[in-house]
Amino acid sequence: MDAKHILYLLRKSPYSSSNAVEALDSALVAGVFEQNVSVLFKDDGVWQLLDGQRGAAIERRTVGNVMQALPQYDIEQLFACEVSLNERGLQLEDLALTVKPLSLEEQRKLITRQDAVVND
Amino acid sequence: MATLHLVNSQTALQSCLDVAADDDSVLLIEDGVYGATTDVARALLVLAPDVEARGLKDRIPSTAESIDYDQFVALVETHKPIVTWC
Amino acid sequence: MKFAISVHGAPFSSSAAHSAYRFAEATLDAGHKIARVFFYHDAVRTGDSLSVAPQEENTVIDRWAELSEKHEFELAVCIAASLKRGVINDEARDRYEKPAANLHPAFTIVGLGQLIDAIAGADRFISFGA
Repeated sequence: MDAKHILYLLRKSPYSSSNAVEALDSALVAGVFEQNVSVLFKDDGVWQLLDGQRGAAIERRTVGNVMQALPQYDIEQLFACEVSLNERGLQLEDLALTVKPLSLEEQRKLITRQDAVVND
Repeated sequence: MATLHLVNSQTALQSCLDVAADDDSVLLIEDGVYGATTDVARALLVLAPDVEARGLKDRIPSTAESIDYDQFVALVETHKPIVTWC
Repeated sequence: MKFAISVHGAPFSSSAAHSAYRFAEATLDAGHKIARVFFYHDAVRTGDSLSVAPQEENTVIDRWAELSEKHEFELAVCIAASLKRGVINDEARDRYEKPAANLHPAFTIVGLGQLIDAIAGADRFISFGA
């Protein structure tokens, strides 16, 4: 089976529901299955990237830790919407994961290259 | 191939429009159809049963094209990828 | 064409399962094949056989069951998402010593790998979100 280009478009804040963690789990499995996986954090999804999370405080898995596993599963195409970061006052040094900020035009091009887009 | 954007909430519409290319198609379904009741500066498609259920038939401008599920499938055939915004 | 479909929203708090059903039906009418329908996140509740729908509202579960049987595609419920939401099969009932199992017999419990497998093998992937 050919590897597909699969983009995970993650737009949900980390603790509003289980969706953020579950979507990251799905991305990790896509990595295990050797697909060409990219991840784009956008809108409230960029909050998943913020350093210093401690899910244990509300008896939840720490989303930031799940997210940090992405590079270990050979998922290295990690992006964040530049506009979403700016709107929330987030700088790259505030983040727990190294991501490449993308302009809206770059996001448009990223989407065009995909076979499938999975949302959270 | 052009992208099909599937929007099922009004709040997600702007995020979609920010990255949709001119030749992409934007289809509003479920509560996304409320997004067609306000002025949007691009061509939109709306899913007919979702418009009808919400009593919006007369409130959707003629610039938004109303389609059924068979036409929805035809759109999926001619677009890739399909991006869901919710 | 071969389609992979994922559903993310729970019945009654979203329209995802209903929209996905109507889409799946139209897909098959157009002569396409469905590789798998994958229920994830809160959509795993779609597989709960104990739900009783109010009179005016059709239970989408029976229609999914009929459609999958007729066209031979899998209705897959994600195991990790369904266990924690209490949608379990006989095996999980015994293993976790729960009082009942409620997964509809037309649905199958699978791992996330089956979502990726369906996407990898399909010409189109579409998801119905919450």
